[in-house]
Amino acid sequence: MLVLGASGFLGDRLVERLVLERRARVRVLVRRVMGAVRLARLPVEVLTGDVVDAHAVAAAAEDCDVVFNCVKGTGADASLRRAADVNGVRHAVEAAREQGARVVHVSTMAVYDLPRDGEVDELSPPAPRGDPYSDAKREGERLALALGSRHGVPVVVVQPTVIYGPNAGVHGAEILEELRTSRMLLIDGGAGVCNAVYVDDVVTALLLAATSDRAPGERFLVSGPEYPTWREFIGCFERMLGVSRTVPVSEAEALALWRRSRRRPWLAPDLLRLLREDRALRRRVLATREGALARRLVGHTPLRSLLGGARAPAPPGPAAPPEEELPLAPARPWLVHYLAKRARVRHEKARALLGYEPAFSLADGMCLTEQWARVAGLLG
Amino acid sequence: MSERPLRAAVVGCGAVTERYHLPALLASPDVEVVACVDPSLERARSLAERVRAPLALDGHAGLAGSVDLALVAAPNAVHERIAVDLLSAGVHVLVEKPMARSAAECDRMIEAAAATGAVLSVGHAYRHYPVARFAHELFAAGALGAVRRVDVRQNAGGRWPAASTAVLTREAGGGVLLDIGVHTLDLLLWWLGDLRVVAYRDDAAGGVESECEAELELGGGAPVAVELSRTRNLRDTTIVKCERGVVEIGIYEPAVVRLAMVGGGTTLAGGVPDAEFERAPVQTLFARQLADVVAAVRHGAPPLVGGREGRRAVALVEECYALRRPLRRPWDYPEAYAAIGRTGP
Repeated sequence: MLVLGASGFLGDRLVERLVLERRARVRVLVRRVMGAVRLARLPVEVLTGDVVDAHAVAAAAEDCDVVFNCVKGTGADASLRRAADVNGVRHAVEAAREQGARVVHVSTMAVYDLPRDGEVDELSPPAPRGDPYSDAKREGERLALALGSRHGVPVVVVQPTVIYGPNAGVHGAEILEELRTSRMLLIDGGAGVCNAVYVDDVVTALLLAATSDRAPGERFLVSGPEYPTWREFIGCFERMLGVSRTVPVSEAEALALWRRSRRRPWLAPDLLRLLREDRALRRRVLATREGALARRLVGHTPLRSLLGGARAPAPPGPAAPPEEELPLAPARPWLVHYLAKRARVRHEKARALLGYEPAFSLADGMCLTEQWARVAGLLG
Repeated sequence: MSERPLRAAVVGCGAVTERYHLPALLASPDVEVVACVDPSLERARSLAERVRAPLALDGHAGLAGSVDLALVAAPNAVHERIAVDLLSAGVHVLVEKPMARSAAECDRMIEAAAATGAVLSVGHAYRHYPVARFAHELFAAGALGAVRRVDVRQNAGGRWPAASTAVLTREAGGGVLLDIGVHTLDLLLWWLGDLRVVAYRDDAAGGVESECEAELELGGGAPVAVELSRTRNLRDTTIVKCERGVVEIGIYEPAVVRLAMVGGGTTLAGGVPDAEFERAPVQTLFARQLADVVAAVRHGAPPLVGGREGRRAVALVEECYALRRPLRRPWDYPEAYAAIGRTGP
């Protein structure tokens, strides 16, 4: 078994289950040696290389029966991310072709156009173009199936919804970090639907996709057993931290906040604050001709306290800022729209053809996630 | 009187040699790099060319007689063999940590050194951190009284460069205990005295551990807890509670030392100033380590970390692995399923 993207959240868990549950011989391809430190606790073969390198993937796939592609393009460069999400897929399928192997490709529910409300299944229309992530994933998915069909490579596409659980980044550590440092907007009061699915359930679907006769050539949406709202989902993380840090806003308010955050601030308020807080800077400014003049002119006006007043320095040591002072984290427009949606993703096809049944309720999944978050030192 | 520089060889041309040992060797007026050795002759040649060393070899056999000092930075599994061969031929050896994989291997290296009088030193460079030296001086002076309890929590992620995946195997680099824990334990042994292992758990499941928890004891019975993780952010300090005060020693730079006296209400916090170190921390570490070995070779003073000293941490690591129990978490497989009342997916 070859697992691409093994050092990521989903890939790491897949490797663990492949080794411990399926007793499979697993090989992984990672870009950095030290990215494999957790994987190395298991008896896996570690190769270094990048999925955008066709030779590396081909070499890694030698003697493999299944190639799992769990790669998600990362980093600031959109073209590099796209290369991983599209070219990487091509290399995976070509390598599998050479070995007579099956490909289980992890895509995403984001390839579909999520309606405002209602249900989503594999027959739903595709997402409109425009978002780099969903564009790349759609292209990668189409390429995988097209190449698979053309060259007789069994390709199964698995489209998980919002994956959470121990070691999650986007829907785990990042949410906790944001809640620890800012106040989070709850779009539409958090009434939107979060199609949350626990990581082990997604891994179960991948394992089924690897062996089921009815899987090749098909796409499967993989969602959880329940449809919590974003309020409920985020609320779980708030409870872990023991905080109440969300601010319900309407979509319109959220968009207005975003527009306001994009506007460049005036210099004067920031500058005055700097002069107030930084004694050394204040001294230097007042030592200039303009500064000395300003001081003489200002005299005993209220402005004096801003320029000349020696405020007591802030007490040393970390002090948690009071709630109201925590910044409000603005959300980008596409995120605002996405979070407001109430579409529910169905997994009837995965149930019917793969026998997929999610085992973890939100409560169970979050209980395990909280235990991980505590051990990982993410709860402050 | 200026002596001629020692002729030095690097055995093992991996990332740590290239980035840390070689610069230190090249910068030292007391040594001259004359040979580069690596199983890959191409790698040995490429490095030799860069540092203008006349010899490039794919084995250490040809070194005796051509070099005075060998720096061994090869996989753990071959430390003993290489060191014993060289020491038996009278070549002084600085071997990277861990000294070897077992106390028995260490013993053979120590014997080989004793037989010829060659210097054997172990690369526990962390002892040269200013904070580590201060801590040693503090405890050596008994300034805070008897030690009551020790607690170390350290993230041992990929801070040191790794060129090959081989470092993730027990033979070459090892899991977090062997790879980084050996530094941690060496410092505790140096500062506080002999330790014995009470319990040890790690998460190795057929591979090498990325997390471990050890419970140890000092001679007087004071408990010592050590928690290491390759991936989780931990406190990264060593807390030593003593009769008269508590000292918390930062592990990574900039390292802060905090001191509070028992029954007091204030804490002193600060670093250990060292201008040379601050200008170039890691380079200074390796430069001082090398200087210590050169002094041992030239003047016969015992090196800071000789064979017997280096053996202590290895013996402790061996003891841990011998007592090893699995470190399991509630969300592991299959525990996660048991938690929801299932035997499996």
